[in-house]
Amino acid sequence: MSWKDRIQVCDLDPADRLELLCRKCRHLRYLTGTELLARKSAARLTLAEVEQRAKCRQRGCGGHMRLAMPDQGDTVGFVGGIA
Amino acid sequence: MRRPDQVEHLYLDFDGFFASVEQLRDPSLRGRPVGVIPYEGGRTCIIACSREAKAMGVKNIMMVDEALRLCRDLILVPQRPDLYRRAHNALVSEIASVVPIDQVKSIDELSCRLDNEQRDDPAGLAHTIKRTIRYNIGATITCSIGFAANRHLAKMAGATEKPDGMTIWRPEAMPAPLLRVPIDDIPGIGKAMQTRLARVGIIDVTTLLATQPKQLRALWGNVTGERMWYALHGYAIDPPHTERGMFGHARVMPPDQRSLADAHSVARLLLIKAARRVRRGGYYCQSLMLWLRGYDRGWGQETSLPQVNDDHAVLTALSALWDRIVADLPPSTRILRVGVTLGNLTPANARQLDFLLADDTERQKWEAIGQATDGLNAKYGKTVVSIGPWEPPKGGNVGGKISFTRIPSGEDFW
Repeated sequence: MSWKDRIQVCDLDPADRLELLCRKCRHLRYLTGTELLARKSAARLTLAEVEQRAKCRQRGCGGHMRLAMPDQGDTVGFVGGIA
Repeated sequence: MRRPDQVEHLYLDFDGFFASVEQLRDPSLRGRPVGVIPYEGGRTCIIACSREAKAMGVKNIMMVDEALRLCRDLILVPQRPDLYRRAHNALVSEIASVVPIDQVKSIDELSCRLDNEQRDDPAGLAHTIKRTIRYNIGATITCSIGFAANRHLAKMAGATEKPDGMTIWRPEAMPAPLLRVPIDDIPGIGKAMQTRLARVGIIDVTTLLATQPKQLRALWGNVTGERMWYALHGYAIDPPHTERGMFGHARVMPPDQRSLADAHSVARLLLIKAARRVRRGGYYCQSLMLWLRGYDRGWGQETSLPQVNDDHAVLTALSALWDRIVADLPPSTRILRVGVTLGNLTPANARQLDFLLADDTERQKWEAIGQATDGLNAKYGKTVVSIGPWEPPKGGNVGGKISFTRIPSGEDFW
């Protein structure tokens, strides 16, 4: 079971940002938690189902999308080499 | 300072990350020595290699000629930062479904804090993480996991058993496993520091641990030495919070595109990408630095800006800087590397206008244009509108470089 099966749309924070990449034309677009939460009928969908339903919006493409949730924060560097 | 009596931190480091992602992507590379190089052609070095290549003696940051002498079957693959970024995102999401991630240290390293249940069974947690990665991502990606009282010790623990290892340094067993680590394997002790320590008789971990905190502070010349002492003695120590100070990009020029005109074109592109990051991060910048590296010397200049983040303002400043630098250069000068840095950052909500300059109307106009171009580029998922020409150099990936502290986002590749 992947992480996408464990998270439902209603678990998302409005500030969360999901990345959708077209498997066919490599078009990349972002979807925010706010946008998904606004769709009442989508609240119980898992992210795997969101990924399954997502289609590329580029003209003439309509390819399946790969969903990811990029890390929001910056990396925390080593200070003086100390982790 | 608190000294934990249980393991509290997990440190995870992926083995040969770039190369194992390439092997995951292309099944024909699996089980074969793979070396990832920055770009095709030219004299370059290996930036990451697979475990099969490492077994033949190939190392990271080794020149390609030398690596091929050691391993004739080495398969050279040009880097694909966007692929590694996406692999990182997928892996982090999978790991986060097992244990909350505390800090992402770099594209292939992260750390987690353990809850009480996880502290009782760290080995079980490591196996769950490894199993999740194997089943949901792929078996070519392996990681080494270390557990210890603090993050620094956990990192060192993880490095003792690579690849695909799992090491637990329980506080009650310390410092015995630490004494077996060579002093130059301690993160934060480089060659210069090792020489400085050797001068006062500190030549191994045993003698290092026998010191006092203030003694290490004096040897380091700053508080880092004292923090190192506490970290090595298993105290709960966290790095101080750091603020972002700049946004910059640099690029090694392809061998056949090293003229001044090529360098100028790349500098423009890098600057536009840096300005986009400044805007996305919600900042304004007050300085621009441009630096060029030739074959035998370098040139650099800095200029100050009013608090700006629009492309027009930074490109105007770049033109002025460029003219100043190239005025003294022969037209045949070859440029190896170009870099731009936007510094002196101010959060967007703390911006102060310069009333003597009185350019607010002008800035508002250009910022509106910037927002519109960013919006169009986001809509189409690539650069469809830019101020001036948009000519990415050979090799692509401008602004998508992965460094120790930076993981590019999808927008950086537009």
